[in-house]
Amino acid sequence: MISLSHVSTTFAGRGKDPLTAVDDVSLHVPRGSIQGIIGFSGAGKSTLLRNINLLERPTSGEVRVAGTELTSLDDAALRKARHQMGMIFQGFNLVNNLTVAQNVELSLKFAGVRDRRERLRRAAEALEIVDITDKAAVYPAQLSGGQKQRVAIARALATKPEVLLCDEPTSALDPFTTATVLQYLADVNREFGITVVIVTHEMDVIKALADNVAVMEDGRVVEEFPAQELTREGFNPQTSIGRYLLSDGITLDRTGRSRTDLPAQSRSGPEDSESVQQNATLAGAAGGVR
Amino acid sequence: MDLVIERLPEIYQAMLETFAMIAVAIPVAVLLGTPLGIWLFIHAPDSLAPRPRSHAVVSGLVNMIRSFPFLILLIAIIPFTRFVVGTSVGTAAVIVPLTINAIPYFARLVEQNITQLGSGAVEASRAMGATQRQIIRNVLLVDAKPGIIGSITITTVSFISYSAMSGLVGGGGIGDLAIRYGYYRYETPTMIAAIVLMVLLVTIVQFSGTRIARAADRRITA
Repeated sequence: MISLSHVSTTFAGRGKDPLTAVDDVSLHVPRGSIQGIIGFSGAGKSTLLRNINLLERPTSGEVRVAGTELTSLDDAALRKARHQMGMIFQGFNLVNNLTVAQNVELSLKFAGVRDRRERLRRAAEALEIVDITDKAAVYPAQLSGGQKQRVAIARALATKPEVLLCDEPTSALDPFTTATVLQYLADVNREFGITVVIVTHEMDVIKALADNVAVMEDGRVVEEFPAQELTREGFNPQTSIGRYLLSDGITLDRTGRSRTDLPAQSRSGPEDSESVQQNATLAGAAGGVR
Repeated sequence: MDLVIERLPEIYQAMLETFAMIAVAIPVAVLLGTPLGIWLFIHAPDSLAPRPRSHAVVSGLVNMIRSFPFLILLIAIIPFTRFVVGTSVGTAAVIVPLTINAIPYFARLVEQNITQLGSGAVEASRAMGATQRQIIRNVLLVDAKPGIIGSITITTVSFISYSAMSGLVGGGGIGDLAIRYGYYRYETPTMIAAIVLMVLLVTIVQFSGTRIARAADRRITA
């Protein structure tokens, strides 16, 4: 369904050194499957996801979705292709001054559904899929995080896309809400055969949802395997995620003597505190998701 | 007090003149400044459709008009004013420079209103295959609406104050009356009456502006 071949994305970066966020990645996602992409912050996984619908245009390489090569399309054709790809985000990205129903209606409007009644009917249908029909007339500010993400899923599904791209969809949610949202993603994958690509740094999200997993580090896919092999043994000890999983989770130095032997550390310097935080998230989410 | 009563017809006339200035300058500024503000946002470097060169030119032009002291602008564009309204004195003549000044002023505010929204909903819309036009109409303007209403309020208040300088070309208005009678002729009661009226006017504008903006804002649960 989705085929990336030799995709690279380099950001020019004004005055700074150019940054290669995605480095020669090739990935094949079979129709109807759920592909997980995991890695720590800065690994390039979000950029890779945004390469699929060309929100971020790759510097080189080919992106094929449902047989169409996207990088060579003109603007109008690309927009049309995007109507076949739903996307949800960590920050939900709803329009705050529109009601839930109007938000969902928006994707249909953008997809060129002219008839307002048709739009409303299909929006209501989409809201039903994520069981949030009772909130149709409410504004996003009155919803919880999990409800907002469900609305975002409804918005993405309203156009009946073949692909659903998920950019850290549960990172802003607590473990219980995470489980609910993942259940809906699993349901739409099973019921509608939608191909799902999900980017996350939460191991448990991958374990619960994905069929296949790609591990990213420094812009490259360093490992790829079926998700059921996602055990400590399955991980390459040479990757930072592998090192993290093979360690005892978070170990902190309480003596102040050492600032260097934190687990899962791939770089040194100012990013240390960030990777500690991520480990905390990984460990914290463990056990939470059923 | 008798003095103020004696001046009442003139005060009334001055209020009408002020209303006329604001009633033309602000709607025109909103009508032209809003698209200009959107343009500045859309074509800024790293924005939706970057056009660094023309953006630099337009942005520079906006800054230039904005940096003119109003009195100097008033005089500098007299030939243009005469071309537009056929005269360089009177209320009509002051409306032109007021409007010219208000357009870039309001445009900058609109640009700010949109910039502050953050890129989330725009990004989602792009992912949904929206055109630039659809994003502007259905997302940016919708979410920026409360902010834009606030900007209309600020612009109106600022330009009630600017309109006091209209005396220079015999434009009249309540602020000009305060200067002419109160300041030049030492008629303190007349000046106080005029200033009280201006304070009232500004208060009413600010109060209703805040109310309308809040009613339009769904980001807060109320």
